[in-house]
Amino acid sequence: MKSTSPTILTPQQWSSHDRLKALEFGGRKRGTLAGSLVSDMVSLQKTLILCGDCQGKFDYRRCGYYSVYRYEHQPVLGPCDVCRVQITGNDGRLFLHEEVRPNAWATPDEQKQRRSTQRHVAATQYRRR
Amino acid sequence: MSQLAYIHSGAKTRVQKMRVGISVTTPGVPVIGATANNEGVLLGTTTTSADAVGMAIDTATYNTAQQSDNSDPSQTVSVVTNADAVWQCRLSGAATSGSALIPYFNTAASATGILVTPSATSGGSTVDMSAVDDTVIFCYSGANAGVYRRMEPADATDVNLTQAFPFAIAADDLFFVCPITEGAIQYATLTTTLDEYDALVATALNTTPTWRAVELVLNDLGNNGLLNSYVNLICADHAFAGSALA
Repeated sequence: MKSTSPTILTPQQWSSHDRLKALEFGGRKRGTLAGSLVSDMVSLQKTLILCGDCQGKFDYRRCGYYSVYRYEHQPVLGPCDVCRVQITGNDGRLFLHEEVRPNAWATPDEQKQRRSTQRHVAATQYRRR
Repeated sequence: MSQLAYIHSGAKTRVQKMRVGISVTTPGVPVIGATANNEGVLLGTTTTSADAVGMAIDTATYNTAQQSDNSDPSQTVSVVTNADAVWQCRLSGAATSGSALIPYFNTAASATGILVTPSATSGGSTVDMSAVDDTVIFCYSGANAGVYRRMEPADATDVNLTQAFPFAIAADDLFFVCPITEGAIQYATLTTTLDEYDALVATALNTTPTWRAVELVLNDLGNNGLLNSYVNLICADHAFAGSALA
């Protein structure tokens, strides 16, 4: 009779972070072309996160997207939708569909316009004599 | 509409795609972590978003059945997961998004700028403001346009201010109320579709400390403030913030 070593089962203590991690999008499935995935996401007006290697192949103007980096010089962190690499540096780019963007992202111009008639504190403190 | 205004700490924005357990039809709404027997992230409610994971910045449809083309029924929504993300929410004058704020006429002039007598109509009866005690009254038109003060409604007849407006308040100057102050004791209630801030609700009902105001962006008549005023909110009960509120 073949002897087997005993297995000690330790109950796993899943934290809330572990549970939320399990909900994360796994990225492109094996066998799916990168272009097909991006095309599908564009047709659904999904937000795109692309790493430095993948962003050059995406023509955001042609697809009707707003490039956060192009207009705000703001990189993004997160997993690349195409190659799944976890972006940690400054080369991540966020693209929002132009029809979705006004409901989810305030551009610097919009924020400036909204403050245009606010009375400035400085107007009373640094008035010219 | 709730738009990402900035990250409070100045860090980079972090966006993750998360599987949904409910359809997200509007971008700019708060999503919370999945609870028991749910496939993915869920929507918050008007008063609470306990254990929020962030705000959705696109939409997703929740499917349960296998799809005829064998595509994956699981859908994802993009979520800004920074715990210190600041969201700019438009002030709505009702629980329905898109409503204009309610302007109030000042009935009796106040030369010292320390008393407001708000009325729904010019020269009409005074509106009781005691339900929004310790919040903001903003001068929409008149000599003090663009300035706000914290109000102390002593009774139903007028509103006392602890600090005077810089100029005298004339009859028929217009004001509106924003029932939240930056970094203070009030919390936020969102509109029914969760994409704007409900500025009509009494402060006593804003008891759930999920969303707090970072700053107010209030506009006067010159910038159509009744439809174009905002509050910047931050989540005080975030799943990734490392703290839990009772």
